[in-house]
Amino acid sequence: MSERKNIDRLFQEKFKDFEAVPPKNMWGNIQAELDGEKKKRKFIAPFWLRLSGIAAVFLLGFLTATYFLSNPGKPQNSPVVNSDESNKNANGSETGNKQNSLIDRDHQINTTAEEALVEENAAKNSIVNKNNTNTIVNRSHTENNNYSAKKGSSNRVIASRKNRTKKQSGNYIAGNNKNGFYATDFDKRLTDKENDNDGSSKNSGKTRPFNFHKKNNIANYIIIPEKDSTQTETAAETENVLDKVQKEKLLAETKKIKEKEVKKSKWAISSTVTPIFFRSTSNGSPIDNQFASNTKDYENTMSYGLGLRYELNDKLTLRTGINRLAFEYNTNNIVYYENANANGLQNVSRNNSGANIQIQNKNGGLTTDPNGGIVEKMNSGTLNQKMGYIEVPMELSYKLIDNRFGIELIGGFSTLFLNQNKIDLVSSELNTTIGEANNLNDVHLSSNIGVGVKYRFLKSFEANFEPTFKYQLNMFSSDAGNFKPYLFGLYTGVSYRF
Amino acid sequence: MSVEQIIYDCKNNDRKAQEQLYKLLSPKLFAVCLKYSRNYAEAEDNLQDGFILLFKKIEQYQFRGSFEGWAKRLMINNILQKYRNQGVYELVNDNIIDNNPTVDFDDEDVSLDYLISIIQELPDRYRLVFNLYVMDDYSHKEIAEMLNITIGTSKSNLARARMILKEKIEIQQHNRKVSSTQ
Repeated sequence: MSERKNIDRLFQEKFKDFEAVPPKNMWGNIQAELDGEKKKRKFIAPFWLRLSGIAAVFLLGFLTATYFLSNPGKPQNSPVVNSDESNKNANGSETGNKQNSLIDRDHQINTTAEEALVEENAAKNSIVNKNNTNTIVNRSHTENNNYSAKKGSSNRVIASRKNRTKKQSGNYIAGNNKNGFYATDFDKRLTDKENDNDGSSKNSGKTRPFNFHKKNNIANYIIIPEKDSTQTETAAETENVLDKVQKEKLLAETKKIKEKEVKKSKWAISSTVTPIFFRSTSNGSPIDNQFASNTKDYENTMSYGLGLRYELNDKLTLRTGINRLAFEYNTNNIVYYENANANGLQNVSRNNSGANIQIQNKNGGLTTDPNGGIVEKMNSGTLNQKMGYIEVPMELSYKLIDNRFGIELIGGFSTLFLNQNKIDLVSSELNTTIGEANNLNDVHLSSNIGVGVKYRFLKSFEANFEPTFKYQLNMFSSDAGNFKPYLFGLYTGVSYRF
Repeated sequence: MSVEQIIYDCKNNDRKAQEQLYKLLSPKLFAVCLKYSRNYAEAEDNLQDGFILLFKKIEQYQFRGSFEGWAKRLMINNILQKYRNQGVYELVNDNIIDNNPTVDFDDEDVSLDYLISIIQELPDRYRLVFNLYVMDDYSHKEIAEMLNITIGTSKSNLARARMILKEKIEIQQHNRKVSSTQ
């Protein structure tokens, strides 16, 4: 009966309850891959073991830096460095091989894996094929049985297939030109498939008898594999299983290597030790306006940090981390005396001892105390302000030169969290904390710009030197007394790619 | 065991439950793969990878909506993702008006196998659009988002796919008539 339908409806109706049983060995493949996954997970362990190596790098970074700082004149041949050097060599040679293959990892790894697979295939194919031809004969019988048994009992599409395909193949043989088109087209598809099978490692893991395909024309989507188990097939199957296991192993390994390399090429951690030079671009005082013109001595402090870097592409690297950082400076030429009713300083929350000390500018000319009396004994000293921060930088670097020796530009910002805040009075007679600044923000930002120089001394290790300028944006909440601080840090450290 | 129980066990990475789930769903999901893939071998690959992904992501299934629907979508998305990675989406954009041509056919003689084969022979994007729109009820808007194309392109691809399919069915019907009269 012929009728007219639109394409959509035709397909929708035909495919309404369409089901197709996948090839029998499919679950085995999936299971093998799931097991492979588990193995892969286990293989992470050595990576975590490497953390101890990483920790060693940090230690090395700190030690060398402190060594440099305490003995600036001496050469580097300390025993600490040498012993760690040998460790690194071991590490380096191991990672070295992998790095090499990284250069064209997609090609090289795939080709080696595929070569092995192809060879295996070549070896096994003859056997498999032989078995297959046997299988096919058997299978066509069993299928006949299946179909006749199933006929009528199930309205699944699967069952109704057999007769029709017979008819079809008969028609094709009767062949005119048009039929020829289908036949060749079909052959082409077959060869395509066979090529696929040779080429991609995955497909070869699921060798399937394609002769079967040819024999039954296109009817083979519909298979009822549970029933057509034959002895000859089991022989072929065991071959397949052996084959499969080996290939899966190989695949799992190549995958693993690939994954490692991807990580290796992208991530790096670093440790830095940084001499910090803290200054202000203007002559103000965040403590009190009266000290604006006083000379300031800036203490050079040290910052320690850990960094994490991720390469976005060949040129750009995203960098973050965590640094401990402290600023410290002295305001000179102040005088103080004890007074129960002492006036406080503008931006200082005084503690108990601070509340009884009157502090003022030596050159202020004020020799009267708040009560109007003449002060007889005044001591001179300095005010020392300390601010400690936890700094979290977020920076991008752009590589200008990237060889063993490299240069990059670094830009970004840091978020700084206040974790230390105190003001000390320092003099020959008295050393005491008088309180803390009340105009410091708990969190502030700095904008960073710097130049990085690196030297790769082992495959995965780089020495870094990064002079960086960090302008503090909103360090003070209210009155900064025209104090515009910045820091200049010589970020020095070692980074490790993993 | 109920399907819910199987899913729970799968979430715990229970291999037996995974096998049961596989037996339960694989015929339906393999049908999806056959429709969306270029050939049988690719459908096998897609089914295998799809199930690996399914077992990985089954934790995310919240028992909202049918599990079969969830699994089907996951399977389809996985296939689309592969094509995306292969970058096979480039096709010349020709603007054909929306159509849904009718075709004469003898219901007995148009086999499902033949229909699958001509779907698989469609250019990749025609095949994907046709399947998504006709078989799986996605709208052109959704398809456009999934394939990263415009709605117009989706419509035009669908029209092209229909025309190719119609042509092939007609040729087959013609051949059948010719051979049966001989």
